[in-house]
Amino acid sequence: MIPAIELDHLSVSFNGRPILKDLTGAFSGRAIGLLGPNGAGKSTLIQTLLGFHATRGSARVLGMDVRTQIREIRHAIGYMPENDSFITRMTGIRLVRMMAELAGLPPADALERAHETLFHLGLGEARYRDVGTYSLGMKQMAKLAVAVVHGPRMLILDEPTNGLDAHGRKQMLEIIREIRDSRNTHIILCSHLLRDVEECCDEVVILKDGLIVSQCNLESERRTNRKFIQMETRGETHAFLTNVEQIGCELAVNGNRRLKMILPETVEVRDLYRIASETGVQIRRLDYKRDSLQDIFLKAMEGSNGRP
Amino acid sequence: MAVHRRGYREYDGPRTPGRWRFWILARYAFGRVFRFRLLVIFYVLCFVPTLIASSAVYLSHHVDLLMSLFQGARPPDVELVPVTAEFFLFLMTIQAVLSVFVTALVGPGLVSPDLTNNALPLYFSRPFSRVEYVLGKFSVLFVLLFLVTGGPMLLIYLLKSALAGSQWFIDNIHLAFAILIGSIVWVTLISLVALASSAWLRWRPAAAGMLFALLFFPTGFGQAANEIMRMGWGSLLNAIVVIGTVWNSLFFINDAEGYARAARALNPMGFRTLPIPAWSAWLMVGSVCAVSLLLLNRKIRAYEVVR
Repeated sequence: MIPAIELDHLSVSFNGRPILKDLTGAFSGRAIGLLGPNGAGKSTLIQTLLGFHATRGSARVLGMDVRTQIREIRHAIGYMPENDSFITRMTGIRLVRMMAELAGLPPADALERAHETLFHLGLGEARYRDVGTYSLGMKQMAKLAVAVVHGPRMLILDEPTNGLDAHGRKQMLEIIREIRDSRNTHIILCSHLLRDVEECCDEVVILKDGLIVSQCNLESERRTNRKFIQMETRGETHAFLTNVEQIGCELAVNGNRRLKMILPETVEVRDLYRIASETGVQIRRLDYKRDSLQDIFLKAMEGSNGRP
Repeated sequence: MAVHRRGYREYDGPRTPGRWRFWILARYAFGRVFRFRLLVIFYVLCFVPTLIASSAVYLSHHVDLLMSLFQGARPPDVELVPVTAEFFLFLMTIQAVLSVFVTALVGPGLVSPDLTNNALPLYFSRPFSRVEYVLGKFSVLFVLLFLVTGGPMLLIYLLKSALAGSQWFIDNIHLAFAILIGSIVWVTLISLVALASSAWLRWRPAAAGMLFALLFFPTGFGQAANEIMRMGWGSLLNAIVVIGTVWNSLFFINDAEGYARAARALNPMGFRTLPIPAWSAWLMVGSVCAVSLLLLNRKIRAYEVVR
């Protein structure tokens, strides 16, 4: 399978100041989260993938080279910028239709898709209003409409939930997930909100000071996390621990009643309940030791020996 | 399925060829431009001088019709309205002045709102280049301005040919070329200057003011330089003299008398202007266009890099 993004010693500098430093990696996730503190180079990386900046090294998007095939890449990409971006004195429908036409759609198809996209994103009633009069949430949706109207194979979203209230954020994330689960669309989600990334992405790239400091597959992390168990018990645990070790669990006893264990692939949580029942041990609390995205992020920040 | 019930779906349909995609920008811009009633009224009024001129040309070939209006008047011995290079030069000057006002009304609204509202990333994240963007915006002004300068004058040329016969058409074909090239040069020059000022001054009234300032302030400096240093090169800063010289060279008005006649037509206020060589005027026009393109190149970017 062709990776969604491939970077090969990619560097970008502005006026001699390095912003992205020798980035190398291949990212194949359906939805890739770009995380990092302010100034880490997330937006610059996105803009580089769109061909906005001159680079050293190479970058490939959906197998196409950013330097030589930028027009083809832009056909395949939908981009939602971070800041307010719209054309003044233009209604929602005209804006979205024009952007669809600029993406190469014939005028009739562009009009039809503009209508259906605006309805789909909840702007159907407001589509004949000037975009300048839209609320912040509506503007975010209009930006998303502009990004998806031509049905791109890759959608790049830069802080899509910026300025949205709880309802708007939920709606936006639902739409992003729906697009992700549609036929063949990749999503690059750039956000400083870890929960947004956690809810939508299956792969995460963490940037700091222009470097990739961590890259992980959230799906496999989640699978791995399911095998880390924290437990509090009551009663005599000697027989319980012996039996648990016999079925292949790795154990760490923390005090009398607190246990941590790693389950092998073949063992399920219900096996622990069965052994506890047989050995007369009460399980008072059982929890997955969850290595959340926040833990991964903080570890990456600490590990990179810099400010979090 | 009804449009409002459809969810997200990819697009697998046909794509338009990229070659004419810049015209999309122009098409949408025309829609917006002609929503302003004041502009529409002024634009229509811009055709009045050429309408009068074409009526005069027509009447000069139908003296009997004219005589019926003024009963008792004696038919003139000479042609009433001689359609010569000077005639077209005079008309071109009037239309060029009007086109400056059209540019001031339309030009500032083309680029500056896109920069103010950060719209450029929307354009350039699509298969649409900076060159196509400038071409799209330029074509808006070019079409509007050509329609009030070269377009009607070429129609007058054709009207005169129809009235005077095919021999006149052949004998004066250089006039048609002069009208065509002269108006293209003028329209290109003023369009690029307007786009550059619109890109650098995001406040629309300031961009419109800058257009007039660029046309008239250097004239004062040039005149002052001419007076103080007792030379003629200061006229290179005089937009009227420069473009007038270019038109003179196209209409083959090179002799001193011709220049004086053309200067009177071009300079009805009677400012003292000195002739400049045609090559220097062409060079000046080329330089201004090049500088305008450079200024646009600096500003028309998807993202502004903060130093």
